[in-house]
Amino acid sequence: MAIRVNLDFLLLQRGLSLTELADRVGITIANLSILKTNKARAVRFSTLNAICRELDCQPGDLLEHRPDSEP
Amino acid sequence: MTRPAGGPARAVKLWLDVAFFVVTGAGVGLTAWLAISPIVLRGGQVGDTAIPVAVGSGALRPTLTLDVDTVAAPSIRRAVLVEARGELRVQSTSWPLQFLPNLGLLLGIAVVLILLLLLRRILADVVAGDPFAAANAQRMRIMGIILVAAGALGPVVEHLVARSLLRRVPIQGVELTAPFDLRVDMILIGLLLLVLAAVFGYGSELERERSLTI
Repeated sequence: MAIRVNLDFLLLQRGLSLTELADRVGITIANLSILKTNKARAVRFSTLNAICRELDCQPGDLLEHRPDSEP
Repeated sequence: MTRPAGGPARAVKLWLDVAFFVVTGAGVGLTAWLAISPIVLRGGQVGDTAIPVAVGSGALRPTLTLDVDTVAAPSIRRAVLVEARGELRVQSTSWPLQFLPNLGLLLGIAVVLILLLLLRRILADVVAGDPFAAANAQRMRIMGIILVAAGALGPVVEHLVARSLLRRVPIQGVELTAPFDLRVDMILIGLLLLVLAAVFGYGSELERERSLTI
C-alpha cells in the first residue's frame, strides 16, 4: 500500500501516547496500532475526522502517498 | 468479529453436541464389538445379519414378473413387481456374514462423525460472533465433498458389499439382487454446501477487509 500514515511523528509532536489518542478518538489501541503500522486497508471518514480533531492537524499531515514504497 | 450469537444458535450447538457424543458412543461400541467379535463368534454362535436387497433382476431397476391367476382375472395380462426393496435378515454362524455389514455401518458412522465435528466447529465460530472465520469456508467445502462422495460412491460400496453377502446366502424360490440407489439428495446437498463454501469464502474476505477498516 502506497498510502503511509504518519501517526508516530504527529503523536511525538503533540506529546500524546497511542493509548491517550485511542481513548480520545474512541477506537481501540489495537485498531490504532493497525493504522499506525500501515496494516489498515481502509479508514472511515469518521475516524479520520476524530484523529484530525484530537491531533489538531489536516488529513494531509496524517496521510502521505509514497508510490515508491509499493511492492 | 460481530456480536456473539444468541439463543437459537446456542440451542442448535447443544443439539449438535448431544448428537456428536451419541454417535461417538455408538462408534466406540461398534468398534469394540468388531474388535472382539472374532473371539466371541469363533465358537460358531448364531448371529443376525441384515442385507439390503431388491426383489427381481437388474441392479438399477429390479423387476420381477409375477404369475397371475388369469382364470380369476382374465383382464390382467401381466403383473410386474418393480423396484421392490427391503432387508433380508439372515441367522447364521458365519463370521464374515456377521462382520461385513457392521464394517459398512462403522464407515457410515465415521462419515457422520466427521460431518458433526465440522458442523460443531462452524457453529462454535458462529456462537463466538465470527461466522465468517476463514476456516469455515474450508470446513464447508470439506463437508460438501464428503456428501457428494457419499452420495455417489456410498451406493457403489453398499451394492458391492450386498452382492458379496448375497453370494453367501443362496436363496431359492425368489430372485434377490443387491440394490443400487444413487443418493441424489445427498449429492444435491453436497453441491449446495460447495456453493455456500464459495459464498462464505467471499464473506471471509469481506470480513477481513472490514476488520482492517479503522
